[in-house]
Amino acid sequence: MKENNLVLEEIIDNIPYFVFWKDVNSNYLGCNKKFAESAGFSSPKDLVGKNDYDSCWTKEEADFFREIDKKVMRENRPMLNIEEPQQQLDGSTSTLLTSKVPLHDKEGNVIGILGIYTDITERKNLELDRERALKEIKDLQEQIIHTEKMRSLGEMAGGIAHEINNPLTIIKGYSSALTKLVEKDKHTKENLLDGLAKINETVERIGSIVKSLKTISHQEREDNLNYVDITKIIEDITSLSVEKFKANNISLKVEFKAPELKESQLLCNQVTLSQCLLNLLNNARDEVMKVHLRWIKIIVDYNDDSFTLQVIDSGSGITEENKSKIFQPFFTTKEVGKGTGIGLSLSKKLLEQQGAKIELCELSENTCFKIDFPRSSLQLAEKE
Amino acid sequence: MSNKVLIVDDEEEICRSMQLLLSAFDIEADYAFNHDEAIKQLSANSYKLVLSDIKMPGKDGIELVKSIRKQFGDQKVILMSGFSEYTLEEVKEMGVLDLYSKPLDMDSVLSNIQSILSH
Repeated sequence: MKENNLVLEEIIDNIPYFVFWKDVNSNYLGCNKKFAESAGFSSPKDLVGKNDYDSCWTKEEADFFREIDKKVMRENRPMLNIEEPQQQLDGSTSTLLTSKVPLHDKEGNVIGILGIYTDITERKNLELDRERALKEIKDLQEQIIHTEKMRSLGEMAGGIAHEINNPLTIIKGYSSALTKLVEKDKHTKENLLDGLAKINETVERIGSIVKSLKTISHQEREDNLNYVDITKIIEDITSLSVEKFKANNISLKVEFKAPELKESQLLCNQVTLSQCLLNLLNNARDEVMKVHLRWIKIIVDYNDDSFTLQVIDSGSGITEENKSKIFQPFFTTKEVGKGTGIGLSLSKKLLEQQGAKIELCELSENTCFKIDFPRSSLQLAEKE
Repeated sequence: MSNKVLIVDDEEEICRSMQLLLSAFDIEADYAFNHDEAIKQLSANSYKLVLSDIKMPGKDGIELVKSIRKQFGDQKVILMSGFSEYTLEEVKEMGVLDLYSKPLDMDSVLSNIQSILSH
């Protein structure tokens, strides 16, 4: 019997855990060496009959330990893997992973508790470091996405300069011409009226470009969904691209597969949807510039399940190897400095936020990107 | 030698407004909307000056200058652009007299054209 006790003592002292057991009043009945030392005693014997208030722990900690003891004994149910803070002799605080189980007599009555814990401070610190590192990566990603947004805004601003400078030249041309004609008394009623009408028309043309720009660059919450006229979405993005496409000999066609779609509305975030469509158009433009026959088509269609917007171009297509990578962040086939590889992955995220999907259409022989909205997002106009 | 100007721009109203402006100073001008039309006009008529946009569908203004140098030698050319990728130094190397950026400063364009035509 005595030998058995010695073996048991030996085992308990050498377990790489802190072990203790208490009576129903949370007084210590025994513990291993490791535990006694951490409680501020030199040997397990010194702790017998003492309680948590006699140890080196703070009153709050002792209260907390005894609270858990009571709960385990009252409910007669083990509590496993509780994380607890514990003040050390040197004043530092460690994190413990503790399990407490009720002890019973032969009749099954609760006579105390057995506790076992290990110090997970180091593991906890590593976890915190990992969380910090993950947060840093996330912050960096957000910064990169922001930079990409600013870059595409800059690219768009460059395009706008081109879209607006031509009509401004027309206005300047006519206003200068009319001024000089009147100064020199060479004007006729016809050329005055004609010139003024041209100025008016051109001002409206600039107005519509600025209006599209206002919609598209408008700052709004990314989860803000509204019913928007499908025709308006298409007109806004085409009016921002048409001059640039014309100058590069690219024909841009919009095809409504069903006439009622022209009068219909889509539940979407127009700002982010337009950003995605402009991104697709810009990618398409870069691709068709490499070939002789240059066209880009936007197809608007719907069926029982979905509403779709397709952007198809006459480019040479995407290689098998690249197909799986195009939605990955930072993947780009463009020259260094021309693309960050964020556009498509950002578009995917922005579309998912409004319940839509984007995919590369494998069926088409040309490059075709398809944006899919659930059919419930479409508010269809009455068929005429 | 004719004192006519050929305006080349794919925007019809830019051509027409410039033509109207020049008419106030009794300067005769024709216009063309692209490279090929411009070459056709240059073959049929004689012009003192060609005023051409750079960005145009098909062959652009730079291509036009190259074709002009090949077929019409030292024909005087001024280029204009809304958003040019070329510098004045680059186009001057092709014998182009000047590079205007849109929207044009009509008064300086006019005095420039008048001084070229009077020489």
